[in-house]
Amino acid sequence: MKEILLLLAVAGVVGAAANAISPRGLSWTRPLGRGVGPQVTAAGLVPVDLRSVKELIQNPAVTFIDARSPEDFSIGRLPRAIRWIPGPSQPRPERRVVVYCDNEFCEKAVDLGRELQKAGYKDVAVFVDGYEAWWNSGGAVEQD
Amino acid sequence: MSRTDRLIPWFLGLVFIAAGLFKIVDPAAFAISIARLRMAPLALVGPVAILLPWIELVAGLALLIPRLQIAAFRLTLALLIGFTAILAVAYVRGTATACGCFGSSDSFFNRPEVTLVRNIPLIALAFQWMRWMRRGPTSPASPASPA
Repeated sequence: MKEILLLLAVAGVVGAAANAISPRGLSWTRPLGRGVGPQVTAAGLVPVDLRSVKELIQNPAVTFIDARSPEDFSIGRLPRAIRWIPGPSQPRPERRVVVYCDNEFCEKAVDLGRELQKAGYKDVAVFVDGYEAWWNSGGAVEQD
Repeated sequence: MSRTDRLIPWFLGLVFIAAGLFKIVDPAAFAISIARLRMAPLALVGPVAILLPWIELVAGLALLIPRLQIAAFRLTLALLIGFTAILAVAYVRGTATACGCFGSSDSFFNRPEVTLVRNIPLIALAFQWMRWMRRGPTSPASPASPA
């Protein structure tokens, strides 16, 4: 047992030191980087975080659009979320919409947000933290 | 213990060294692989992505050092069982896309089903080696000892 702890200690010290001096080192708290937040802002979309989404989800006037794959959508999604398929069955362009995908590193929501803007939607927000943050926070999910 | 059996630490050691190095050269990709599995809070992704590759590398190197082999085998076995269990749960839940075990690509060797199948013989090898060591490498009762 002592030798296993020694191996773990060596790995921990060397790993932490290598991470500190490496140009490719990760942040201990935000290893996925700054995520898509800057892209969201640059595209003229509104970035919203987990706390805001917890409030917005209570508002029936807000439509959540899932930008992930149909399989991921079936496995789990935010309550009331829909998939975006261009056509007459989609919400009216004057509605407020919040788009999301997997996590803060996923660009599908930004792409879909841009597409919605082109389709005439004026109030498009992107849930930057994404479904994983929602799920990890214990938020309710819908499944097929 | 036959010559083939003596190669087990080298084989497992090289597998773990390779797995560790692949992750160390591209830690961001490994962090994304962990996040995709959705098996841990995002707060744990950083520490795991930073430390786990080094634990694999150190365990792999220790397998090549006779004095540290037993501890290294125990650590390796625990890692293999842990990885397999986590990946199996993620696979059942449908969140296992690519394991990130050997780099970031979605290659054949990183496919979750391939990884699960691949880990079984690795676990069996580690168990078998530890059983031989417990009996004593030169014991005549060893099944692989030359008569």
